[in-house]
Amino acid sequence: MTFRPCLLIPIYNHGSVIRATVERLLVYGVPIFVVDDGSDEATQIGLSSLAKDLAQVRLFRLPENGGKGAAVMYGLRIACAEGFTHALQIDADGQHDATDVPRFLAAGAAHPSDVICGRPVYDASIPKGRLYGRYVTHFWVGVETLRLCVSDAMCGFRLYPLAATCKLIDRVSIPTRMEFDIEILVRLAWAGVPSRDIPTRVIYPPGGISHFDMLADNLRISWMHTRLTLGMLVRLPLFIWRRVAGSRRGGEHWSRLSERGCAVGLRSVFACYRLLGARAARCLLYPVVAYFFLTGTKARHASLDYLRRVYHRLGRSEPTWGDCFAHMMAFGQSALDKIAVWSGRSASIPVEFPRRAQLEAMAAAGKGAVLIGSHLGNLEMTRALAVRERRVPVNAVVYTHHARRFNEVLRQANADFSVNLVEVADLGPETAIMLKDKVDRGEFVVIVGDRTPAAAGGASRVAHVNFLGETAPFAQGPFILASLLDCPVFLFFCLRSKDGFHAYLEHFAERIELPRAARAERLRHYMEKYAERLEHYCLMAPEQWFNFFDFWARPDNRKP
Amino acid sequence: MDALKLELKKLIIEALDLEDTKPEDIGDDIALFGEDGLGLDSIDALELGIALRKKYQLQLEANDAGNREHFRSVNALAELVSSRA
Repeated sequence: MTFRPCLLIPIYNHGSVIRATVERLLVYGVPIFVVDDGSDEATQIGLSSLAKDLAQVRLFRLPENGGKGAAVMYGLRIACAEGFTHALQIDADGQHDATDVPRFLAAGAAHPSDVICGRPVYDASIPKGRLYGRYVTHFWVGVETLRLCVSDAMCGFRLYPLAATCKLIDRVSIPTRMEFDIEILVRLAWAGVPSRDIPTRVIYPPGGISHFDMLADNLRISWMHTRLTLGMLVRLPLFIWRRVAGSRRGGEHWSRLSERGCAVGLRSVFACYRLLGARAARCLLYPVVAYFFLTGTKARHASLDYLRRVYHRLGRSEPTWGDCFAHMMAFGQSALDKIAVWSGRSASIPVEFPRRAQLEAMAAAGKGAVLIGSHLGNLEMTRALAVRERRVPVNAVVYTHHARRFNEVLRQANADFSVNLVEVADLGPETAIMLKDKVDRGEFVVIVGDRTPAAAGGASRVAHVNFLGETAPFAQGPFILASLLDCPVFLFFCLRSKDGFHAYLEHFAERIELPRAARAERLRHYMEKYAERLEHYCLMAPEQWFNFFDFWARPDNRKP
Repeated sequence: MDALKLELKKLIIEALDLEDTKPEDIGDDIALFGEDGLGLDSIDALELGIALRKKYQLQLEANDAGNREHFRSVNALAELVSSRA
């Protein structure tokens, strides 16, 4: 496809500034379509003389004012009919930076099927009310497109691929007033047109004319978001199918998608949490979890497989998809709890910890220890308390690669999030040296004992021990690390109850000793003991073990 | 320096129980970790770290992204140990 762009300027009564705006655009040698949306006579005269002076400018006039969207759609149709492939929409009032035009055109040429959106970078001239409105809009567009569209939907500086856009506007009627810029982008996302961002400087020129009517346009925009959210819900099955089909076609790997999707989904929930509180956020959790429940085939089956084993031990009947959904909801809830505790609202979530005094006494005596935790429950609750109270020096070793975006959200919620967090992509000699220093100083090191073997030193570094009725590969790494740190070892679990958390501390070993002669055997002994205790706590809170992959799979059958 | 390198190679073999490896099998600049080179894994890394700390009282600035580089090869290690001694 040859790339044939034009510029498109909708105008309504911007008589004095249009000439300056157009003159800044001439240098790019691209035809400029100006669509007059029924302006007053003064503007009409100005435009006519502009078109007469400049051969590059084509002027079209709508007899009545129909709204910005009417003018843009009129221009898009004409440009398409005349054989142009792309139209770059620019506001008439000069708030868009003309020097960015080449970047839009280059992006369009490189990605001809995408809509290229300006992501505004404001200078200090933006009114604060506008900025807040944009934030709210951004949130809603995220909900309406399920984050298919991550662009700034309010910025009217954007390059449309004409074929797809005209097909859309012929098919559906799009409101033509202030809602236009937002709605057309959401609709394009629904139609499967990808969007791409370009940061661009936006200026609110002094004395600039804005046609934004605070009451009427805000009402229009609210109604539009209501409509679009309902539209999203109606189309949900289609989007899900598209995602599933997309991942089947070998696009992005599911686990990557899910991490990305999860974090942005959670970001929306987080925004909702801040604005509206915990109860509203929990309501929003339902569609987010429903989405992942429906699209995450592997996670769903892993959950069901795990639940089947636990229920069997508990003498319960077979788990249903409903139980599986509850399992995923519990995971979503644990993410909400993490957000709650790090954004400083933990006073509403009590943590009961009967053996807390023992831990504090050890800390006071300067005796370091290793606490082995798990994916059961929510360790973050106690870590947050420890960091806040600073009575117990706790270092958590976390593997960041699969939760980086989510951790970024928590970090934004509270700068203390990173305190004593040892984030490791993979373990190195320096990790061991650093952790040993900490233990010798009397600090605690928390690691999890039920990590995926693939990420913990590979398939050769696992031991198959009995867990919930069948052998599963547990990573040796955490236990070898605990042994190398040469200090007392405890098990630590923090489970959610109805109204709060309960933390459990168990003495595991004074030292994990692995004499060379009987190393494998001793290691297995400790790991069996761990798996047995993990099982005990899993049976207490079946839906709180958050390992959504096939934990019992033989590593040699798995692709690395 | 060569004596130190030999000492380090012996320490690697001893700490990681590499029975079939001799000090001369480990090139000075060969990568200790990862696919090519000596092929040590992350658990070897932990053990080596502890052994080095014990023998040379090594201390590191916490969370320095460059820390990993010091353990790349025997040459890098020798540099680290001699600079901190």
